[in-house]
Amino acid sequence: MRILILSLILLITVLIEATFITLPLSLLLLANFLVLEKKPWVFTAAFFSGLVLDILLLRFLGSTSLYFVIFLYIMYLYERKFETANLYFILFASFIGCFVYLTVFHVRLAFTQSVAAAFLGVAIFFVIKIFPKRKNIDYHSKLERQ
Amino acid sequence: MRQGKSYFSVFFVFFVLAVIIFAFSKTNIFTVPITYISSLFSPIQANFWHFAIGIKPYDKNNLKDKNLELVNKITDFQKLQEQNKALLDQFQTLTPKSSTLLPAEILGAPSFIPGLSAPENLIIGRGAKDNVKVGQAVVYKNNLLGKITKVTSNISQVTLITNSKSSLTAVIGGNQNILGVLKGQGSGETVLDNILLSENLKNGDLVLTKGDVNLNLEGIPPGLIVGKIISVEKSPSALFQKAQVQGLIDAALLSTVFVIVE
Repeated sequence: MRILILSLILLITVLIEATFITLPLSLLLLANFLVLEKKPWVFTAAFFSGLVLDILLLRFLGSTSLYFVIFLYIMYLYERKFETANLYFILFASFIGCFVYLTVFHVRLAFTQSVAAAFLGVAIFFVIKIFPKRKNIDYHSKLERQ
Repeated sequence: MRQGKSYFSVFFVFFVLAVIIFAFSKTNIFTVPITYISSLFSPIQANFWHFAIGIKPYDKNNLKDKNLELVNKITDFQKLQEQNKALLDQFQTLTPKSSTLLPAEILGAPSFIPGLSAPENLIIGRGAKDNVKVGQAVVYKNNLLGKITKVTSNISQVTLITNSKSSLTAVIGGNQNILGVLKGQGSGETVLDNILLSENLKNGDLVLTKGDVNLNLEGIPPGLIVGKIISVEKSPSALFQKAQVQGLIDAALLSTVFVIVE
């Protein structure tokens, strides 16, 4: 259910990004999903949302997906060494990810938009943290509780 | 360790898929799924865009009392009214001829801050199946907005004349001998450059297109309004003089534009 809701939010941000804003909202959302959810389904969402963005923005098909997947994997590599579920990492990763994205896809005012996107990424981080994850309790934990 | 392997395997699969799709994107093998997905999202995009430019429900105070179906009908009716008005305005204009014009709904115009910053491109709901081709001019009444730069089966991208990559030859209205190059500056601004110092420009002069059409008469026809001069920069030490040109139409507020298809 949680994955469904987050995917729906991602779809809406893809449509917003394709219609009236150049800020990479999808990238910010995916970065936060990876850091907070820590599940491989984020790569699936990144791949398909990238394809839809490419179709709606008339870019070369696969270009955005490729960027999203590579960026998220680099973030994951960082996560293996450091604690990433904090606002400083999100601020830094959002800025770098958005700046490179906007530069690669030739969007004007890349630096200014990246700064705005970094703060927006932090805001999204706090919003997603509000929704609690359901804890998966395994069989042994249940026995210990009894 | 196991989780690390699962991450890597998922990443690797999608990385390879993305590379393959990217490599084959320039061929036509993805035309059918692209057409299907763009036609699926086009109506939703159009509604998003209409919402963004401020088509409001008929009577806000009654929204609480009306059900969702009635509100949608009223919004559709207003959209139809706007489209009809745009069509009526366009076809009453003598140039370009109405027989060469293809109306196209704007699906999107991404910008940094919607409503504050100007877009540089438009996405319109017409494509190759409607005989839209790269290089065709896009107008509103007799004002040039931009030209088609990318085309798929259902949708196309219009690069506006204010885009920093856009440039075209222009003349001053009333004096076809004053030639210049109109260059987009981004942020909704254009500059008319490469005008001889001996030419006399003044604020308020209309700037028109010189014309750039191919043998099939596709391209930017002459005589379309680009904007009016709002300031002139003339320095005796420079080779040429420049003029800031302001467009008469704000593309970010339009819902329908017209493609010159012949």
